[in-house]
Amino acid sequence: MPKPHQGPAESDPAIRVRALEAILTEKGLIDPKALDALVDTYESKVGPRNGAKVVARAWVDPAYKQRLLSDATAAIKEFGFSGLQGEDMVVVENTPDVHNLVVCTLCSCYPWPTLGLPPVWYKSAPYRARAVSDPRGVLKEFGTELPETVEVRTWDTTAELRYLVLPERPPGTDDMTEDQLAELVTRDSMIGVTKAKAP
Amino acid sequence: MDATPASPLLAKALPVTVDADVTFAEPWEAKAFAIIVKLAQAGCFTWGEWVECFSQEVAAATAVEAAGGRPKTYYEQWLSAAETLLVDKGVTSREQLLARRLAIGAAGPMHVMKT
Repeated sequence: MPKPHQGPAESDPAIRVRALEAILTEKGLIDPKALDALVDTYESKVGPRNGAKVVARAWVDPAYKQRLLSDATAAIKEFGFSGLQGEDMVVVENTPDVHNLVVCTLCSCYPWPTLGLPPVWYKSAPYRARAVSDPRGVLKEFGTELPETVEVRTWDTTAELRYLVLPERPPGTDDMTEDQLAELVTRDSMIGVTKAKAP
Repeated sequence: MDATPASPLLAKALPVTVDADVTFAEPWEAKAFAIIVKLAQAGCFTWGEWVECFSQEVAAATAVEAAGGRPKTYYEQWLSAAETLLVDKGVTSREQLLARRLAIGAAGPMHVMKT
């Protein structure tokens, strides 16, 4: 894959990372094998299915929902989902009157243990700016049309606080099991750009 | 929208993507990501310190994009912030990084892309 814009060797990011990795390995600060294992975890084991299980439990278990809304970090940890970027979680509940939307305006803070790594658009400058300046416009681009009477609240994630949206349980799902309900919970619905899927 | 956007970024169409995103486009991106996570877990710096350093890179890239320039990619920003923070923390130095890069570069193309 030719890269005509590439400068001298020292500006090639692949070489820069190799240099950094070599120095840190020599200092005993990292183990290359552990790096590979960590990448595998985030590529294949941690993802929005975790958050979907949390949401589905909250839909079927009022006591769990109460715990989730009052101490999200602890309630999420009941599933074993914790770790970096999972500390100090806050769950915000969508209702017929309020729709919540999550952004990180400064960079890309995101609840990794429940949602995995953020999608490309979440990290983009237009989303970071417009989720605050024009949240309804952003929602429309994701196909989410809300009545004017619904209040849209945007939550700015930081290094200290990370938000997860508890979407509304879709109508017509009374007979569904918790596992079936979890299938309706998408990543985007937990960021708040869409609603949960209809059954 | 009833007002002129303050920044060209605000007027740009938002790419809407489906659930399946590529996490890392190239192996070095995954490596740069993992290095920072591991070092934070090892206590070399707090996550707050990392976010502060990374946010400055993101802000710089956002300004370049707003001015119509070609900003660094997300993981290029990540890598630059990683180098800055580790130099600030005294873990390595600019000189050490440069010397090692040149040594790797002199050894020939080690990262042959397989496509």
